[in-house]
Amino acid sequence: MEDSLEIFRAIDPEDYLKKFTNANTRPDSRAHHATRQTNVQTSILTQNSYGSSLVTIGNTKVITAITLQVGTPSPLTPSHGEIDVTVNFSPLCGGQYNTAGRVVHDDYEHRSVAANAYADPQSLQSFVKRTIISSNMIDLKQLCIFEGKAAWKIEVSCIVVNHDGNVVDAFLLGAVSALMDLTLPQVKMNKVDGQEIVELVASDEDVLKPKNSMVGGKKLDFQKLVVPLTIGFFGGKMLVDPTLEEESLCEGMITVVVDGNSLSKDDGVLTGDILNLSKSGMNKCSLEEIAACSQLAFGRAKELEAILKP
Amino acid sequence: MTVSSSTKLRRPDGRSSGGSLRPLAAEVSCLSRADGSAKFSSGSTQVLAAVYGPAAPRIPSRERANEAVVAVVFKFGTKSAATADNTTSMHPGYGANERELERFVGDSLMACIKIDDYPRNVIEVVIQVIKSDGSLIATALNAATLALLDAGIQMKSLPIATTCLVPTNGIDGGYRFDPTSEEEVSEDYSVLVVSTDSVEEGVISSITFGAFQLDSFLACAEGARKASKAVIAFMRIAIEQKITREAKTLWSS
Repeated sequence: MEDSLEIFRAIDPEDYLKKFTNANTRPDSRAHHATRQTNVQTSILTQNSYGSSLVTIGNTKVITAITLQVGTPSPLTPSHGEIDVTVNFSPLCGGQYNTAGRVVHDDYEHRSVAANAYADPQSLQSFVKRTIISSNMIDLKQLCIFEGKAAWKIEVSCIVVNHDGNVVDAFLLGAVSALMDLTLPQVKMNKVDGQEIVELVASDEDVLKPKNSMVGGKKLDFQKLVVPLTIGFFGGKMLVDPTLEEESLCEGMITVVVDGNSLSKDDGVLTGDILNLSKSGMNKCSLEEIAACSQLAFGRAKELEAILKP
Repeated sequence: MTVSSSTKLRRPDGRSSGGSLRPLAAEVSCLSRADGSAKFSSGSTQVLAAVYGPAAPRIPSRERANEAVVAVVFKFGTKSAATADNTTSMHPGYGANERELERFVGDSLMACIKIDDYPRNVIEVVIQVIKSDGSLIATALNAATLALLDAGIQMKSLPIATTCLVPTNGIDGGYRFDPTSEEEVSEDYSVLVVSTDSVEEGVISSITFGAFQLDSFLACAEGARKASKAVIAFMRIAIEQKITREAKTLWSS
């Protein structure tokens, strides 16, 4: 019985999933609107990075680490720093990526159009980066070291360790939690050989490692709490937080990113600010479905408030 | 071409209503080597789209057994190359890179092209931005649609995109369709781009820049459907003119 089930799953994955969704359930026994167990651990890489986190959504695992650089701010914004976000895939996370981090096109892999959109590393990187930056969750003036001369450039780097679907949510949660974990080290301006440089004020002069230089460092203030939720459309049904198997079969996907700090109840209905709403894929999404997805995203923000905020 | 009435306002380019679109212009079949091409303008935003296909894919693994693959190549104009702060509206893609925009356009096109009619083929759509003055992404998708019509690719419906400017803090009204780049740059407004089709209700793809309220998005999607009718009527005229022109020059008896 078990063998024939696995064979059925391999030969006709769409029909296999349909059997579950028609019975109002999913292969992992979740309800259609249920997300997987989500965990966020911070400060996991203190040796070489100033802020880090491990996000697990079900079996999807993403590690995010922050490194810092000092740069000269643009003359148009002399007291603003910069944030850059990169995402990385590798064969480590699953069989569909090659060593260059690009998607492998396989004769045997069936991936829907929407799944392809959510598998493309460059497109995802652009989405994650601009969501973090344009949300204005961090006032870039906090990154100023010396007006007009030096400011921090924060480099957020996300790596997928295990890909079981919905890496977009994991990337955004990872970036947000790593930034919340970030401690900017104490620095001072110094003149060396006639040149002005920025120096770390380390507790131990010999060992300028992040964990030692963070004493007296400063944590960032957050104006917004960025929380994402990705939902897949399969056969007219909405599957919240799809696994890799479900993602490859969904004819459409939608990611709603909301501001957890803006939640309020309007006539008993949870509402707030939407920071990004991206729908991709080939299905047509009705306005009711979009409203329902946003509702679910607001609910998710309420749910994750507790684990994101320290 | 008014979509919805709003309070009397004066927009930078002289339009007096939030619902009015800028004048459209198109040059169909402008490229002789492409299977289909169109230079589409919305006001002073101008985008050139070319369609090559259906053709065999260059990489065999790219093909799908039962349907066509629509590959989109999106190219910004020269000014865009390297902008240090790529999140302001000054950046032609509003912070989105070419890959993300290729996905947006590609998804909308694949939803409306009869891809089942072209199994194992690739339909390549190349989009080149000529001039960007607001509503760039929507104009690009519309140019691609017109180029596909010119190429004679079978389509179930026409995907049309509309850009809407909504206030960040969700005050009622104040929506502006087809904004110019001067209007888009404002910090108090967010840009929503929604693609709808000519036949069924619903949103095919969406891409947004900035914060907004759910009501604004829903209003924008409604308005987009209405606005798309005007754009389709224009495309019909453009194609009719092309066919009349071809009949005179190519098939004169």
